[in-house]
Amino acid sequence: MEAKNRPQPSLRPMQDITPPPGGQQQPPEKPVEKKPEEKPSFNPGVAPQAANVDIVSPPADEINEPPSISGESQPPTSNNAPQQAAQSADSTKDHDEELETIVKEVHDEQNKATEQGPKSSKPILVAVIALIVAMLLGVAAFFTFRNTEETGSGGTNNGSTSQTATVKPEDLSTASKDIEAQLNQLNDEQDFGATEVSDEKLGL
Amino acid sequence: MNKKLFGVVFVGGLFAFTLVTNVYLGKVSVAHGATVSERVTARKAELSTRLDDATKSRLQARCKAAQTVLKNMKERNQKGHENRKQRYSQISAKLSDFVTKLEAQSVNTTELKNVLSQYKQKLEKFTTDYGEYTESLDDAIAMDCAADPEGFKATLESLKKIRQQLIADAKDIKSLQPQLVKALANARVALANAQSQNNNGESN
Repeated sequence: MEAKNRPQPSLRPMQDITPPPGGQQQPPEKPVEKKPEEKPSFNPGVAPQAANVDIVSPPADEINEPPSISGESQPPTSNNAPQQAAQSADSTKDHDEELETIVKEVHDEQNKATEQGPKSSKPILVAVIALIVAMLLGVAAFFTFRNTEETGSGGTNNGSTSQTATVKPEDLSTASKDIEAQLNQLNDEQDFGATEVSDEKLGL
Repeated sequence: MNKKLFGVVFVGGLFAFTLVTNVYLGKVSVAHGATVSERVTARKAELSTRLDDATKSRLQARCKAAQTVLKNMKERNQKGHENRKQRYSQISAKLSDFVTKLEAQSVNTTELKNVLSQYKQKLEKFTTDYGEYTESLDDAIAMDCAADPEGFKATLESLKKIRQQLIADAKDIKSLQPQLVKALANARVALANAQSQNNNGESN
């Protein structure tokens, strides 16, 4: 039976495996009990007549190894026995390759599902955090500029306020002179004079 | 889907933060409109005279150079304007601090509080007008003056008008200087009396 006439392995689990057509006489495969924590073993090199063949997936490190036809099968009892053994080995080899492919696909799907599972809640959490941060920034900007306006219009909290709890008469005298000096130093015409925006100055 | 949600939330939060910041920086003028074109349209409506074709052509030819002059003027005046606002703010804060401490020392602060209240009102007016001035100046610099010479002319007229108003506001603040000096002098006397009474009381 040629391998190319076989149906392609499907993505569904191993239950979709159909036995190869034709008159290949193979002994019934006995299911082997798996140990709970070890990967199912697969020995492609053993002839079906000689050993119990596992119908579950092979270990990962053995998937890519070409199946070897063991030369240690039972000696032929007749002239046609070697030919029959080779044919059965070929069909077994094809069957094994198909099983390997299916098992690999199943493993990939399981890994993908495992990786995606825990991450489903992360994007929502990130979105919520981003929203909270943006709202906090807006609130911070609101209070910052409100305090700035209050300071500009005469807020009580300012870097120039005195650190002492009481005020002395000398402080009031000094403050009076300072305020006078500061207001007199301001040149209103220089800062907001009309000549700077006149048509002559602008070249219009 | 989750990535889209995250993107929408992030952009929305950023927009809210930017809007709050701009509103409290005074860059969005509710009175004249939220955009440059809306404000220019409002100023054109206020402009009493209309331009003839010759004036329009002259403006279109020279307005770009005028915008450069305005930009240089803005950079040149920026330091002086910031210094002025800072001095006004410091005076307001210092007076507020004196009022608080004098009240804590049981000194009559009625006169000082009255002058401080007037000072804060005038300072608030100056701050508001300065915001409009900054807006007009930025609009005049940023707008497409060649495409809208009438709008540019209207913006310049608004700029000249608000600069004159700022001079008036500054003189108004300076006019409080005698009252401030007198109020601080009276507070100093009251404070000295209160302290001497306390000292006499302690010695007795």
